[in-house]
Amino acid sequence: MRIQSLLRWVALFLMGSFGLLALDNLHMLGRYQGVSKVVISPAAELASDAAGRANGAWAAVNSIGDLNRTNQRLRLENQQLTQQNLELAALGRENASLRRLLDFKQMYPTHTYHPASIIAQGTNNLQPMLTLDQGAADGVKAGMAVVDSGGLIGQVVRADRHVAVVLPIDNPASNVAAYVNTGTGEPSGVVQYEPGGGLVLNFAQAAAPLRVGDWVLTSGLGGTFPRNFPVGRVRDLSQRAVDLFQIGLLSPAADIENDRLVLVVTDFVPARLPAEAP
Amino acid sequence: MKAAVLALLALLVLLQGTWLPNVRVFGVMPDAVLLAITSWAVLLGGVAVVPVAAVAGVALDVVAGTPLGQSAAALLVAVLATGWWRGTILYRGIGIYVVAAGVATLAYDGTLLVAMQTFHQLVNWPVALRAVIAPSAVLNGILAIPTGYGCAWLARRLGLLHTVAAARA
Repeated sequence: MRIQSLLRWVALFLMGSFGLLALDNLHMLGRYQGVSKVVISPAAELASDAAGRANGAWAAVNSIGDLNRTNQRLRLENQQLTQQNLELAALGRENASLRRLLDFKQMYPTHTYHPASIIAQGTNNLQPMLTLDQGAADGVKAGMAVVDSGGLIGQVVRADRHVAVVLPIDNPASNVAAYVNTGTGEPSGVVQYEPGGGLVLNFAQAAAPLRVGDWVLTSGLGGTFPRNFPVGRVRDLSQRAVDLFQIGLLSPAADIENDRLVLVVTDFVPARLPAEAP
Repeated sequence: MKAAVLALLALLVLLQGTWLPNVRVFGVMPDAVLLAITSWAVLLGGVAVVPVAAVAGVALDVVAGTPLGQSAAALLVAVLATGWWRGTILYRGIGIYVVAAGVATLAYDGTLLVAMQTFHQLVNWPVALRAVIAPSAVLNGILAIPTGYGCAWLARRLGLLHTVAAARA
């Protein structure tokens, strides 16, 4: 009974379909097709839109795994690029520093130099000290001068096997015999450091024609430092009427606080004065 | 317990000589070792910290290349200057670390200046006080708060406070 009814419905639909097909072939349904499209198309559009969204959502769900993998890869690449960037920046700075040191060597070609890095500094605010990563095994000896691209940094006071300790010119224990390049003469003095006050040129003759901006260079007097290394520039002068000497405040020529690469002047060891000789 | 304290001190000494000189605030660098030892002195008493201060001072001189014993002497003076009034005023609260750091900085840097002057180095006291010691005392005073609480936490973890209290009792 059921099968008969089903067959009857199938036969009815088949006949209807063939009938519609025949009518369509005879172009008799054109008007009705237009009407049906007007009625159906909004619904079709909505359905299509919904299907598109559903497809997009499904594709998104499917691609989450891919996105995660891509994200991880990009993160890794980003980290590597950041690292490379930092390394390049550091290399750039080192390169610039080395170039400046090379310029210094070319400006003072009569000396021989040994490069070194500063690995430690003073442990309090009043007595800066520097420790170099080169020592006696590298030819560094006590008494050798240390310079950076700007000028004099200090003097090696102790050379152990692989490290050396430097007394910088911004330590109050430092005394540097210096002269002022005034253009007309070379008045001499001693460059010392005053905690909180900076570099000071002491014992310059009262009548010496010092001017702000003059260069102060090592004089070599006493045989402690090689001659003509820049120590600083005069930034201020003071003298009272009763004073025998002028006092000059200096801006250091060397960038003591920031430079990490320095040169040890290896061909100069302080002379032993007769009083010190055995 | 002692090994942990010594390891921490060794780390601080290395930091003091290598990294902290690059950290300049108000034109001065923080005195990490001084701060740590001062905080210990506040917590445990000046006398109890004397051996630690002596060892740390010698280590500082070795790292910096300064005359051996100089930093030890300055640290000892600072510790004793911090310890003698401990328990009399401001014993509790945040102010104790700040005041202790300020006093310790004055004592520490003052001792160094006296030593420098003894060796005929150029020292202009007013300038040094204004441009170095005062900013240093302010900076150390600010940093004393986290350092003090950090040291107090460590002392509790290591059971040092109970040991000292028991010794006193």
